[in-house]
Amino acid sequence: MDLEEIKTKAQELSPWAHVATVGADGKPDVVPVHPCWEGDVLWMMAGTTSVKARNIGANPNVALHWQVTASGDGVEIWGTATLHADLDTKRRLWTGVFDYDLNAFAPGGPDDSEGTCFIAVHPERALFLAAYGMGGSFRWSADGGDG
Amino acid sequence: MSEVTLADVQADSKRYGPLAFLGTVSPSGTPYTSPVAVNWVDDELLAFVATPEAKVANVRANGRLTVHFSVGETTNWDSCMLWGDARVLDTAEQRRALWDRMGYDLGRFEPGGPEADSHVFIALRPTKAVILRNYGIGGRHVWRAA
Repeated sequence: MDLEEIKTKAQELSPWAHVATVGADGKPDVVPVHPCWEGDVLWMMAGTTSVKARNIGANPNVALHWQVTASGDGVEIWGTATLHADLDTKRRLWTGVFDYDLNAFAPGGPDDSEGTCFIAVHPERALFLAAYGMGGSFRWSADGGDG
Repeated sequence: MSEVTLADVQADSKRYGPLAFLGTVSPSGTPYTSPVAVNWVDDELLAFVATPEAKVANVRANGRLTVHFSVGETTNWDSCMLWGDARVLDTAEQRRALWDRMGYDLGRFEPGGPEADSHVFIALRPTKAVILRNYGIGGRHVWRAA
């Protein structure tokens, strides 16, 4: 598969995914997020003091798994993440990238939301499982390998 | 924030359906998360998974594991999360003891029955749990092992 196919599969599954991060102490953490694509970068809104933001500050490796369908189709993406709290990025992302109203979670908007940041995930490999893998597994890797 | 018991957490976790997202970490520090069917057996949360899966190797190398039960509109975007120490139960004797305790027919996924080495159980003994009501807006409940 190529990344476009992975993105399409993920968008067909659900707007929701679970993101896994790792703390400085090696402990995993998993929380639901509503990510959105901008080109080949996956963005998530987050609190600057949230566990996932703190974890990414210590270890940039992340994994996201979209909600599975009743038939067991699922997509998982692995990549590296960066944190962005600068005003230019917040203003750019605030409208036109996300498919929901960010003001519902940060009413101050990009200019008055000090506690809000964005997480950019740069995908490195992905896996699409059809029917929990019983219908086949399909991989993508940024380096052209089999993931 | 209020304190709850493990029994409270176990009861709440059953609201979200049978699937939960397990989070594990590989020896290289890469996180993994995937949905699995889980069930409580006494004070441990169990998952029946294929032996070659990354999560099994991860737990063998690093027993730290987290679980986030499926979030959705039907449960008002509540979250139930567990953290703790996990182990892999991979002997036929261990599989036989748990074979009929998962709430579904494991034979659908492992026709070889409990004698087959191609599936194992991951058992999580929680040390901490958090329940968030409506993303936490409606309240936060915490349990910690004594």
